[in-house]
Amino acid sequence: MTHDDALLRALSGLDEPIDPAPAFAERLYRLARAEFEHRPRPVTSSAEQRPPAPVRIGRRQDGRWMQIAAVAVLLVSMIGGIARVSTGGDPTPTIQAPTGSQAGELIGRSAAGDGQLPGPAPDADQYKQLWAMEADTTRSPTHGAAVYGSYVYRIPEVGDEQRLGDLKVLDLYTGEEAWRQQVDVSVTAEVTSRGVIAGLPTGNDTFHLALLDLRTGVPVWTWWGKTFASLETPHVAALLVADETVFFSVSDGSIYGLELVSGEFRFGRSAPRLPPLGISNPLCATPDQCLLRSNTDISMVYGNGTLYVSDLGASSVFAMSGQSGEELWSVSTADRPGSTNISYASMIAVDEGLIVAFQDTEASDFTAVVYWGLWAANDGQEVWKGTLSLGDQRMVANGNSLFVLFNDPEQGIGICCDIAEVEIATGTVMRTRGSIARISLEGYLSDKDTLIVRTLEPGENIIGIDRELRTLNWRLALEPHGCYIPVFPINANGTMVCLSSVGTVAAYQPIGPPQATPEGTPEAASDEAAVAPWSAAVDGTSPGLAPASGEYRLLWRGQPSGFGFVTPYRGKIFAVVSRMSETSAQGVVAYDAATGAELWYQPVSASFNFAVTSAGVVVGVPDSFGTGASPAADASIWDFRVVLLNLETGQPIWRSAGTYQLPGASALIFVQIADGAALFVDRHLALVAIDLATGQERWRHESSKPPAPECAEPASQPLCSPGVLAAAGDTVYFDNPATGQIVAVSLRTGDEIWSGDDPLGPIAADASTGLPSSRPLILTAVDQGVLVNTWSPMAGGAGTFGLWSAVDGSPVWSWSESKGVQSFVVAGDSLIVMTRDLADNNLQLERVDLATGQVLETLVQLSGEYVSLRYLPADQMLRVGTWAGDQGSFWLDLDTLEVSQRGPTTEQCTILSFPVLPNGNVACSTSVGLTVYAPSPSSGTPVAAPSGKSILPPVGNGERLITTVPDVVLRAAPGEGSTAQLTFPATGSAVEFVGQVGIDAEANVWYRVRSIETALVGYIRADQLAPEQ
Amino acid sequence: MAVGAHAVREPGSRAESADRPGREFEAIYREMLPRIYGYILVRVGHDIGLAEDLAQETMLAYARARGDGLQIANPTAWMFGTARFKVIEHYRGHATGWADQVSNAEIDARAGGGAAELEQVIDRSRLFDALNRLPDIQRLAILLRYTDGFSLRETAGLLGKSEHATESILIRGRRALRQFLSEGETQP
Repeated sequence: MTHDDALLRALSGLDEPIDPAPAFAERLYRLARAEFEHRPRPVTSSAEQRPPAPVRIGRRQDGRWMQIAAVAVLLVSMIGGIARVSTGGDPTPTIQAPTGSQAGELIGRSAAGDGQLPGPAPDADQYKQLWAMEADTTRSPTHGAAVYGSYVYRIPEVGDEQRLGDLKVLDLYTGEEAWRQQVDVSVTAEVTSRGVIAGLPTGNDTFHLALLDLRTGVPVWTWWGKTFASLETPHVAALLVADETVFFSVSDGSIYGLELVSGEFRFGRSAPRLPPLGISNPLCATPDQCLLRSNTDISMVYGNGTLYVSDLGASSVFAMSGQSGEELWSVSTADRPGSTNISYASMIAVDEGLIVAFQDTEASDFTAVVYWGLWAANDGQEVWKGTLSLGDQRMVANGNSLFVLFNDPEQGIGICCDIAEVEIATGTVMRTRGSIARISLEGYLSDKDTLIVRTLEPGENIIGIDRELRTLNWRLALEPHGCYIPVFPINANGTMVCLSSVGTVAAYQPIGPPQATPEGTPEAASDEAAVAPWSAAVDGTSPGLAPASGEYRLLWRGQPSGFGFVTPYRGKIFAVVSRMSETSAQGVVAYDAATGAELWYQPVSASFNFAVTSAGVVVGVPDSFGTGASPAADASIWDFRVVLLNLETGQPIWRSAGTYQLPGASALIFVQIADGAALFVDRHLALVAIDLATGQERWRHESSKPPAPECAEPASQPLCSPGVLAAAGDTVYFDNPATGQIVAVSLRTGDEIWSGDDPLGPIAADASTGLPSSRPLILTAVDQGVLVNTWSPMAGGAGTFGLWSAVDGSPVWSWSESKGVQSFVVAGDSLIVMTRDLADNNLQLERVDLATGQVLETLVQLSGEYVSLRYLPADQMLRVGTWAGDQGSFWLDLDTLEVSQRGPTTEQCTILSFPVLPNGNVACSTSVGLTVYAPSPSSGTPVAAPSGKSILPPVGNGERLITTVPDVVLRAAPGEGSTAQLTFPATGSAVEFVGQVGIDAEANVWYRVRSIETALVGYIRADQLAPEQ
Repeated sequence: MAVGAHAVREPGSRAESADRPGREFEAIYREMLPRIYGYILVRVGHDIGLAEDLAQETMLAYARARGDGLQIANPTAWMFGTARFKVIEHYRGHATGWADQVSNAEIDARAGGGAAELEQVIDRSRLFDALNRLPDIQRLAILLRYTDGFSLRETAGLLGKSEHATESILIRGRRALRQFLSEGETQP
């Protein structure tokens, strides 16, 4: 045996257990045991180790509440309404999802790393600054910002000595701070449609990952499964959100997957970060600027269910299943050119796999890309390798093409860069022309097929380049701070946020045409108001065609109605329902017009009548916030804010900055829509115009006289109401009961054009009752001025009817009081007036010259008690209605003066809502609430989806979806159209399944059903069903 | 979904089952701590304080990983791998730790120009002493190569050195080790 043999033999058997000092061993055991026990414990008997759900902060779901709800569901069903199950326990975002965003995804950046951004393009001619928040360079500089709904989320970085910074949330339109939360900037917070993912500090240089509520900043969940040590500057954790999953790593070799909605642990992966053989551990930009590979941060992108991770600490790029964390493949970067110096990998997840670009640390300009290519999705094998010399590692992609910046050899290395378009599937360079000086690629905007580019010349600019033409689409010129990082998506009304080069966050509003219009969202606010039952002019016209005559059958019913009007619009029916919530006793519901399914619900102020517009639903919301009691601590019970709700989701698009006051519990504010503004008169008789696009108050016109003191009495409030506003051209008219004047106000400026004494005079208390006298007065706006009608059957036959000039309010013409005006509509240059002869009480329809007031002809003598007129210009039909609603009403063809049809004939229709639905169905207000009728098949008219057949999307077995009902998880669809017998409310009651089944937090199973007898749609709990026979 | 169905358990079995992970953890901890500590202690030149630190990091990493629900099929391999990583990381994080503090010339001088005779069986305590006297890089290289059994290429990769440089380190380390062991023999 040689000396070396003996030595090597001794070395090979060297390791043996050595007991450490007992005190150390015991102390360490306690520490380790504490670490072990304070974490979610794995289920060792299960192949899938899932720690329990994290602690949820916020209102706890209460089992008893569910029991009460179950009872309530059925009680409500008994009295003829539709019931709904809502646990209401989870803070749910109540902010409108911006265009292009999806549930459970990042806001403002693509998880695929491809730079794709949602539209619209910022192509307004000019912008004006709304507000700016200066950069906080001393404590927590701004990393970036995200815009979601009407909030701006300012994300901090660097932080203080403890790496803490302020996450601030600002109102998009005012810059007012909505909330702030101190976060550990070891994690760069990410805004998602479910909330903000951030690191919550523990006070001990550690943090927990948490999801913060978008509106309040209150943690929705906190993951206690792991306490992370704060990272030293400049290191940050890797955080990505995609497919409802949070992917997280502090670059220590571990990667965690959590469910975004609940914070539940989905998977964990741990691997030492050791570089492979032959790879230099230190990465040195210069000999004295070295970084150990184990100190490099990892990066992640996501696409098609796969998480791609670049771990330069281990010199590898690998792919994992986004659901299970299972490693799919791993590729060592050791065999790439410049492998020993690769310090950074750019990645883009594409359908074909992963586009990778490696940066060489030791390159002289620190930007050289030493390798780029496409690796296959299934095994990581190289599909193609790029040949162009790239001058920058940043790349963007649009699905088909990859865009890179390359050094044009004809211009010399370092003259960066021309944009090259590369076919992703093949790597073929399709075009390389289009040099526009020194630039960097910032993203790709699908709107108008635009590449977003930052020019690196003095006066940094963000520009949009047409991908196809390579021409300038737009240039952002935002003064005074400039735009270094634009924040996408831009708000639907064009308001955008930018970060300046020094970190100032500022919001800008477009001025002048054209306004940005987002793709796929309602067009910018228009004058069109679908508010029933009047138009902006209150001229008795309605859109759409007349309903078919004949028999109609009951299709479905809504819930018990509150005070308000039923409004069909774009496949939905909006109605006010009575439903108790923390902030109101009623709310607006959007129903699916075809099925009656409740699409969304929002509590609203009972005394503010809603309006449906193309921009959204204008409602008044009690001045409360979140789950707090109404009203807010320092607010009056009459305070409310005007809110625009998204037509599709019911989530707020904007909320007025200021509060207004309702007139009282027994009077209504009738909001009117005109010139892109919501107009209303508040409790103090101030006429207010709120911009529909921004929610900002355009102007207000104060009353010269306060409301009469007696108007504060509930019994007086309806009598003191200024009624419905009427608008035409640039003028809005309203009657001020305090001054007894009709006031004409410029819609554009809010300036008073004229005011004149109305026929009724100021409101005054009746000597006998002490209450104000009734002031029946209806205004109708026309081009020539305003029609004033004070005739009322209840007024004993007295009244006036005439036209006042738009210019100065002077009388143009006026009728004598010998003829009462029961109702009238404006039909072109004429008025169709239902007049009542005061002598013989006969009714007739007369055509009247609008300009002169002259009766041109008597159209029809009416025999019966008719009281209302409605004109549908689209088919020249006039509807003559009765007190009894639709029963007995008829339609008159204004061209032929022939009674064309009756009806529709329904079981009960008090007020027929316009327009008639596109499929021929009609929506009615009835004594029991909204009811939808369909023409009977025998009538030969179009028929809606048959009762019992839901158009709700089918839900596959095991597929998890979140319904519009919070916390109800859909799992499987029962047989649609099948029936079941109920034991409640009466044994033998029959229901049809309409396609959904839900399981609530208490594990109760709920079915969505429709009552065969009543057509009511609602949920019913499984244990209320009779056992199968 | 079966609503209201409950599994039936024997009395006491729930508590026993619930504590099972804790008992398993304790058993693994008790068994592995001396092995990990011994492994580290040799590699850090019997620097007890440093060995305790690195052993603590290793054991706590295991506790956290288990607490986080990570599946660890082979805890022994996992802990030794982690301990090795901790040791290497420690020296990588200390620039001087990598310095080849004893030059070839010095080794040659100490060795007197030739290796002294060694006994056929080397006393463990003397070997530890000799290892402790080696520069960190040499000690670690020798232990990775000859005790842990990594190949030259693997050892080089773990140390972040080229194979040529690693081989040179190993040669110098072995030479120094023989010298130190010889010195021990000649000492009274």
